[in-house]
Amino acid sequence: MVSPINLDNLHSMTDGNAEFEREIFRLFLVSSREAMASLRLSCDQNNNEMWGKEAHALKGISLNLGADALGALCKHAQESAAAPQADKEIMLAALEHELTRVHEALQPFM
Amino acid sequence: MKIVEHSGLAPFTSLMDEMEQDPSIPWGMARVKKNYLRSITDQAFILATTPVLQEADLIHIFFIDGKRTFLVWKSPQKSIYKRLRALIGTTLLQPGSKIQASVVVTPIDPQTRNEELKAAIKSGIEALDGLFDNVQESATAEENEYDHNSTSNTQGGPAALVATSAQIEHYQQLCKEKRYRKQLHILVVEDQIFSQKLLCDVLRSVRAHNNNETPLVDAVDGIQEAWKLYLKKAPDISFVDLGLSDGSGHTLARAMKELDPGATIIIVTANNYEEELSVARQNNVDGFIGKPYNKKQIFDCIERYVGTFKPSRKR
Repeated sequence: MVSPINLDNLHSMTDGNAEFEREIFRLFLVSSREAMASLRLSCDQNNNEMWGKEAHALKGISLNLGADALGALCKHAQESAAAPQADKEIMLAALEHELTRVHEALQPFM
Repeated sequence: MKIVEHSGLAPFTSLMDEMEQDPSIPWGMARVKKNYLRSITDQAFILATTPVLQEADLIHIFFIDGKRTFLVWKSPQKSIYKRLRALIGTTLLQPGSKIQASVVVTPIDPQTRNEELKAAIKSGIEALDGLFDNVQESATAEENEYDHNSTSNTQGGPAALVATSAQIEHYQQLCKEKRYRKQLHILVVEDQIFSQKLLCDVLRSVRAHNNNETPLVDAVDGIQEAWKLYLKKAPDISFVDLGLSDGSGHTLARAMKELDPGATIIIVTANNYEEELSVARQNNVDGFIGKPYNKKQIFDCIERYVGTFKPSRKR
C-alpha cells in the first residue's frame, strides 16, 4: 500500500533534524485532531464558513507535511463548503480514515 | 446577530419609520454595487460578509437585483461599512478589476438623511441610486474627516490598520537603516503553529545566504499583531499567509504596501487559486508561494532581496 506521507521535502526543509521533526510532527498531530474536531462540529451545526476555514487549515498543514492525499481531500472539502450535511458526513469519514493513516505513518518518527 | 433578507424595497419605509421613532439607537447603511463583484449567489454574499456583519445586532439586506444590494444595520459601530469595504475590496471584486472598493461600497447615514431616503424610495430605485451617487463624494469627505478626528494624525493603510504619525516616522527612520543592518529582519504571519514553526526554521537556516548571519525572525498569527510589529521593526521581508485568524493576509499586504511601496512581501498560502493570485497582483506583492513549498522557493526570495537591496552583502 502506498504511504500516505512523503517526507522527502520536509526532511530537506529541516536538514534532517530529527529532534525538530519530532516537535513539528507532534504539532501536526495536535493541530490536525483539533481541525477534525472543528470540522465535525461545523458539520453538526451546519456552519459552512467554519467548515471551509477548518478544511483550509487542515489542507495547509497536510500539504506542508507531505500528506498529499489528505491535502487533496481537504481541498475538496474546502471547495464543497456549501454541500449538504449528508455529503459532508461522507467527506468527514474519508478525512478521518486518511488522517488515521497519516498519524500511523508518523508513529515511527515520534 | 440577526440577518433579515428582503427581495425588494417594500419593507424599507417601515424600517426608516422605526429609525425615526428612536433616534438614540444607531443605524448605518450602505449600498453595494453588485455588478462589480464576482458572480456569487445572495447566500454566498452573506457568508462572505458575515465576519463583518456579525458586529451588528441586526442586519437587513435588500437584494434588489444584479446591480445593487442595500444593507441596513443596527449597531453602535456605524462605521461597519469600512470593514465591509475592505473585505469586499480584497475578496469579492471581480478578478482583475481595477475599480476601487470605495466606489463599490457607498455608505450613507440613514438617520440624518431619513427624509431624503424616504422620498427617494417613494420615487423608485433609480432615485435611490441617484441619492447614493450624489452623496458618494461628500460621504468620502465625511469619512476622511471622521478618520482624521478619530485616529488623531493618522494616515496610511485600510481603516482597520492605521498608523500614527509617530509610528510612521519611526518606520521611515528604520527603513533608512535597513541597508546597513547586520542581520536580516523577517516577519512571518501565519496562524497555524505547525506551518509557522516550519517556515521560521527554514528562514533561520538561511545564514549562508546572508553573510553568515542568522536572520532575526518574528512570528505572529494575526494581521493586527503583524501590523504593529511591521511598524515597530520595518522588517526586510514579510511572509504573509492569507487565511488568518483575524482577517485576510491581503488586507495586511495592502496596508503594508500603501505605507511603503518598497516593502518586500511574499504571500504564502494553501489557497493557490487564480482569484487569490489576482488580488495579490493588485496589491503589488513581491512573491506568491503556494503550499506545499520547498526550501529553494524560500531561499530564492531571500536571495532576490539580498541581491537587490543589500548588494554588498551578497556572497
